[in-house]
Amino acid sequence: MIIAHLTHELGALEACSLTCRSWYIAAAPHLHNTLTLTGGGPDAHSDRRLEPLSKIHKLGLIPLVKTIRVGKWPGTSCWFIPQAFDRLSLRYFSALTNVHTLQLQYLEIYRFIPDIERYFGHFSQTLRSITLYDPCCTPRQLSHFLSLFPNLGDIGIQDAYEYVPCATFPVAELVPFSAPKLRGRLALYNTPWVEIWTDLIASCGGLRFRHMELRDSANCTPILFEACAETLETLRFNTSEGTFGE
Amino acid sequence: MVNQHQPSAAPEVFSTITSHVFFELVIGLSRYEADLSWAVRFFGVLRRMHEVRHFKLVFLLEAFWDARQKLMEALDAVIVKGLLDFLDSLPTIRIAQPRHYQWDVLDFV
Repeated sequence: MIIAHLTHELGALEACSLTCRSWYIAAAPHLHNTLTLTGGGPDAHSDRRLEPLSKIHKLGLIPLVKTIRVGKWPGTSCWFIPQAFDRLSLRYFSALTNVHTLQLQYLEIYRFIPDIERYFGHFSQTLRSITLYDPCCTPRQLSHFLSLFPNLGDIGIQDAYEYVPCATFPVAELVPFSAPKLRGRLALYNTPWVEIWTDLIASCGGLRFRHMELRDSANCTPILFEACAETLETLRFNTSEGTFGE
Repeated sequence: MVNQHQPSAAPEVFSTITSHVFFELVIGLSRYEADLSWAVRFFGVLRRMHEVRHFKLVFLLEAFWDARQKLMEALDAVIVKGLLDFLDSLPTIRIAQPRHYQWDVLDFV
């Protein structure tokens, strides 16, 4: 009961977990709910960037992980790429089958195409929410990636960066994996890519978001309003520039 | 829609929402500006949006204490002036912590 009130106080939870075995058992799911991968810092050797995976595997904590956050240190290059995985780390990563939330920073999606299912396919049944900060890809690649998760309800995208590599996988072969539910929340910041939504509408037969937060993504507003016309409950705009309607 | 549309476009786009369950429009305010001349135009747009479709208006203040106090005072003044009289009920004011870190930017409040 006490521990239930401390789910967001990691320090207190850690202290509780040292009290006795029963408290440890109660605290462990909260303590290990989120796995954060940052690549081990600017000087980390490339072989050690996914070391936390082997650590939680050894401790038997993999089933407890419900949220994965991937980020990078300022000034470092993107490290979370297919080449970062070796056989073992990919095995441990693929064992994370209870994950319902992904928060990925600077994900260079184009690097994972066409084998993206190999790296993210094991999240397909459990994933409910995804947030992408500065994803790097084409709109089609992004919708292809999102279609990997049929139970996806919430999407957040911020500052998507369009990058078309020289050797692009044929667009025609980027067929959707599934029709995500998309019945939850959408937060769109500075990502005016209409094509993502036309693709997802085509593959899902429509969007059903109930809550929307839009900023600097005006191009998408008409299509999103139209697609969610029957389901939208709340709409949020931000007026930090004080120029609503300008 | 917030920044890029022409003044007349917001109500027009807003009119495409036909959802029977739509009930709330949340306006996030994260910065106080002494010059509130924009607010008159802003509330004019809101009025026209409300004519198209009724909604409950919520102001979400995501600012530090000083700015938050000023924003609250400014909103009180707006209400006293009757700029929001077109609403069916007074707007709700919610307060949230300013969002700094990128991890939190898209976390829903």
